[in-house]
Amino acid sequence: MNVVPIVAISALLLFGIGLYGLWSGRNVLRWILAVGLMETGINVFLVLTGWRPGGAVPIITGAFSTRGPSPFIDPVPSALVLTSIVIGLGTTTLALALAVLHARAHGDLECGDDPENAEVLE
Amino acid sequence: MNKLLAVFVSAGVVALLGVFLLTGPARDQLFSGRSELGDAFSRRDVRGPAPDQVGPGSRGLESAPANTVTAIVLDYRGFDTLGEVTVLFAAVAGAGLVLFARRRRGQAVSARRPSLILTAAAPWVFLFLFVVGFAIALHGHLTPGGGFPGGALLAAGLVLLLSATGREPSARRLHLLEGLAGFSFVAVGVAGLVWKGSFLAHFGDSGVLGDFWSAPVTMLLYLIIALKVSAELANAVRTLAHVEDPTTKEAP
Repeated sequence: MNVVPIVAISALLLFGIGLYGLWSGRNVLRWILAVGLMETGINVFLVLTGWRPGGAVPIITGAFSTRGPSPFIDPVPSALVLTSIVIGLGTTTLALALAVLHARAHGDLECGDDPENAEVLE
Repeated sequence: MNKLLAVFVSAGVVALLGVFLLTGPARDQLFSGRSELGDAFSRRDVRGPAPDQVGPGSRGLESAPANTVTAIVLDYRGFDTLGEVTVLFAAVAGAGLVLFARRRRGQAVSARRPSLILTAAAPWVFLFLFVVGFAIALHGHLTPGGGFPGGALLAAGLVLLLSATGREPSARRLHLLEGLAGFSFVAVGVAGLVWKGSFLAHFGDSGVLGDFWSAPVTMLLYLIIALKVSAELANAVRTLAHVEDPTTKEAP
């Protein structure tokens, strides 16, 4: 069975849910959660690009010949996603700190309907 | 109205992305199942030819960890991981800077009395998290995991224990641990520069692939990363525990 379409569509759906969260509200926490969902979708998609039919987990647990085709999936996207997850944690931490700063200044987490912004937009 | 627009826009973007990524030339590129570089990493022959057979028991490979992802993250692209740890540090330091531009002292705001369940369970859960965290970090060259999830478990245990006892971690000690870990990472890199001629090159006998005592430099680096990540995360939790709740402050 080919897993590529199923996982790819799930990844795109996660990305789409995140995008909807970004567009449909003005709550800062909602935006941070939405960006986290979009990141997850992108990570799933990146890992999927390393998949190949019958590929093993990229950990050497048995002897294999280096002259024939590689028995493993492509390990490069997995390694990149490892980095991506850690960087995502860092950006989320910083974004949450900025959300606290916004709540201190305005008393809530709603964003974008301030009168001074409306003046700038007009 | 606004929500309907959001539904249409996000569905449209997802449909466009799906058509672009899952049909046509982009799909052939992304899901071709071919990867010269990835296969070279898997075979361990990026810098030179590997032996005909690679498996548990192989000696003298150019990168010793049995876990290929670990080999990429800490050996082939170790410098990139140093940058990654630096970004994590910058993010946590930035959060502290944004929240406490002025120096603040005093108790954590949410210092409620811990419940009986928390105080009774905390030592045992801490012990479990401590052992599992170090085990995951030290087996990073053999199994999935490594220093980042191991460090997260250590930080969780530390925060749990301290919230059960009602005390808070000393910022000075956390900063000292973090600084020492960062310094050790660079020191390991400089040792590689001195002995092997390039920064973060792995020195010493790499051992037998698949053994616990193989890839000693990888093990050391993952231990350093686990300590650094645990100090950083515990520090982030400590910072957030000092934030007063701004939404309830102005309530009548």
